[in-house]
Amino acid sequence: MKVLEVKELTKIYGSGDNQVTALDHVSFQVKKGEFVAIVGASGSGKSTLMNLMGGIDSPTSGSVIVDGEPIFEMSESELAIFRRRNIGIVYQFYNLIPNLTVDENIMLPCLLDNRKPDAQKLAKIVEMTGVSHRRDHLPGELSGGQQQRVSVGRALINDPAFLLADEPTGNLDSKAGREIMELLTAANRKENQTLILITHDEKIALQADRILTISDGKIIRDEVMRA
Amino acid sequence: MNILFSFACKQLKRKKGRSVITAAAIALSAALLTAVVNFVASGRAMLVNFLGKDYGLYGGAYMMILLVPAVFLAALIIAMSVIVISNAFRLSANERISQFGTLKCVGATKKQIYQTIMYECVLLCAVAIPLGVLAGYLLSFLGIGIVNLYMEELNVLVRSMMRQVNFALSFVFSPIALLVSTVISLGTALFAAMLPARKAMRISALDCLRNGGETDTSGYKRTRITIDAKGKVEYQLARKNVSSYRKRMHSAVTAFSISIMLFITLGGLQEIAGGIQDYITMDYGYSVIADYTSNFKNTVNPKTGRRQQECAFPITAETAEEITAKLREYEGTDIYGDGQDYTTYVALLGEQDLTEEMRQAIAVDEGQVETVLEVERIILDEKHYGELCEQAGIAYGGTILLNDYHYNDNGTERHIVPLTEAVTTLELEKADGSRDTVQIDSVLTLEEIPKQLLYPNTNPIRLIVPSTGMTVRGYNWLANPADEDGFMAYAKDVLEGYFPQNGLDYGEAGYTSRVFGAQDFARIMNIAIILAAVFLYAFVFLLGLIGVLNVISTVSFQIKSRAREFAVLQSVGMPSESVRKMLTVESVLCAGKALVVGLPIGTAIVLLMARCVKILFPIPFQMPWAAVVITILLSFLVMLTTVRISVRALKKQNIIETIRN
Repeated sequence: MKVLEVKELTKIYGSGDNQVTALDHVSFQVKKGEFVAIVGASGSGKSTLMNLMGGIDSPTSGSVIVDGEPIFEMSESELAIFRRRNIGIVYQFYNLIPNLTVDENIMLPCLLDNRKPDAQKLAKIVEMTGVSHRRDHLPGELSGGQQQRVSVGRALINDPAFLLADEPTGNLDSKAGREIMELLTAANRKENQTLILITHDEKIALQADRILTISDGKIIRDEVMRA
Repeated sequence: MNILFSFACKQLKRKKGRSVITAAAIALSAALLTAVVNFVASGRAMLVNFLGKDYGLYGGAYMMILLVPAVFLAALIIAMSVIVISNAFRLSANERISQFGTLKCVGATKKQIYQTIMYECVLLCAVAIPLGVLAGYLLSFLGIGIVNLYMEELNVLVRSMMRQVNFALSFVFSPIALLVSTVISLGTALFAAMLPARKAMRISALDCLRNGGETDTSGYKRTRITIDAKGKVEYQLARKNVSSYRKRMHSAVTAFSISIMLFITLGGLQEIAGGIQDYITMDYGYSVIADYTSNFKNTVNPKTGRRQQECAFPITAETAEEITAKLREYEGTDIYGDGQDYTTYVALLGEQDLTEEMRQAIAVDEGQVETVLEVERIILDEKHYGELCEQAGIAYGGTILLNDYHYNDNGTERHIVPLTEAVTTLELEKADGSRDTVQIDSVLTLEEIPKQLLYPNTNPIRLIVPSTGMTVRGYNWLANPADEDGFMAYAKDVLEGYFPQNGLDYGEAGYTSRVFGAQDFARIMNIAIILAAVFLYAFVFLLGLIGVLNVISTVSFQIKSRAREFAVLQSVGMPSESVRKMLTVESVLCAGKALVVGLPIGTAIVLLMARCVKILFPIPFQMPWAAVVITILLSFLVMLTTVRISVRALKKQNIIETIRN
């Protein structure tokens, strides 16, 4: 069962002589529970692809279908609501809200829906991310690794269709990076959470079921590492 | 608690300094609006008390006198408040733009971003508006107290000239006024916050994340200023920065310019008021004036179609002389009596009768044969008439021409000689067409005319005539008694004997007779100017304070948000002293920019006002230099102090930490 379908996705920045094609007719599908790594050199179009899959940027042409819903046919507000309920995003620089506690940051997508998450679910995520002893702390009081774990917790709180992680270990030391990868792979393996990971680190990419290699805005390789 | 509401609360707590400044701006705005609305309510109550419920015949005009300045002041307050409050929320939004990006990425809608900022505004309004309204009532209360301090003296002065006048401004609490000021204040703050909120909600999630720090995502402005080794680098950098950050400083500079403009305008207004006061304050060398004026109506003569004046109760020269004699009976008091008839005659003058100056002044056409000019016949008491005849070298009973005409030549008072030496007789004509020829026995020039007869608003042809058989519309008795109060009481009794008022009000008996101090008009005007100056300066000061709060908030935010830039400059070898110099130059340039806009606009408004006033009064234009100097000094002082304080906070920061963060 496919949860994500990217069809002929093209993104061109600028105009005239300054035109840059960041993505050039990219197409692929991701199945439920799959762990896909997208690799490529700097400037290859990885981040553009991630922004489009996450619905935070709009394409020049092509479409992204999440759980059967073409997201770019939605209005801006509909897309925002869809994103908070169906897509979990983890950034390299955590992007937590500095004046919200750990709990509040994790619950944020639910709170934006004006609902409180199920207490058991919250407790499970807090437990899973290993920040249960820091639930009332502010992000500024946490280490980088802990902040990133909170960010993963926030992405998972709504059981999204897929989890998008953009260089989640890029800003961490090797130990913290390893822990984050363990957390993400555990979510993928134990909870059958679809995971799309953007990285330029080959070692990390090798943990994935499938590796898409992107270069000059095109997918040049699609390798299945394990079925 | 709603998460957006919680965001707003936390943001306000986190940025206490700016929250306090923004709340102060909202409170000041509410206080000023409340004071204006409450003054209208109190003024209305005074008018109802004085004129009756419908304000009498001129109800509409009185209401306009109350409402027009109120609307003008309210519009100024609202404009200033919108600029300042909007800027405060823009700064708050800028600071959190990357947070908004994160929120958008995790699924916050545009509306939710908008609501976050609006909740902040609502929270601040909930605290600031009640405080502001209270402060507004306190201001009104104090203001009314100050007015009433002067009102008592004003009533004493006015009562001596007009009967049954008792102005008193009382503090009025009107629920409608309270509602109006609260609604306007809330509306102003919400509208002001709405502008940056709408801007923030429109920025895409990606732009929020990329441009953390500015709702204006167009980035830094490219400037033509280049940094080279020709000048001191801190000065060049400062110039470049002011040019690059002009959009960010726009609101602070605008609010500053408005404050400067208002201050200059007010200074100019005070100069003009002083000029008018000096002009209308005539010193005849007498301290008490008694006068009689008959009511009159202007009609058109049915035979000739000419305008004529019909007096209800003209005073005869004999009666005037009798009163003069009685007033002289008061111990040690001489009386100068004069009466004027402005409307009975016009003079028919030939081409050779008028001097060239006069022809130009009254715009006589080339080749115009006959010119008709209004004649003013003046009678004096017998003693002073005799003395004037003697001075003119003629026998008692002759006619003397006061050969001086003064007029307002576009703001300059000019005296010219109206008639040529050839004029020895004058052909006078009444409204009914009948004519009389008057022999001129002597001519007095400007230097020879007694100062009592150099009052404003005279006719072009002025004749001192013998009083025998004359009646005039009005008569004045000027005195310089040793005991002013005693003489005034005595003179009132004398006049009451001849012209009983029977408790009737001004003009209701068909005439009016008054006894008042010669300087009373000047004192009334002086009180009016003091009151207006106190209120307008207080108003401009408070409005300026809103502008200054905006400058402090913007400058300190800009400096804090540029901390990384300063740290980078220091890391590449720029001493902290140079950074301070650079910021000082930037602040001087910003203050200069505000002055370059505010000073000329303020001066232009003063010039425009002076031009309008010149139509009525011969007052030369006086540049309000004191206000200009104070404004320039204050502008630089505010900017430099704010920069100095902000830079001091920067010094405590670690360069490496700042760059990393």
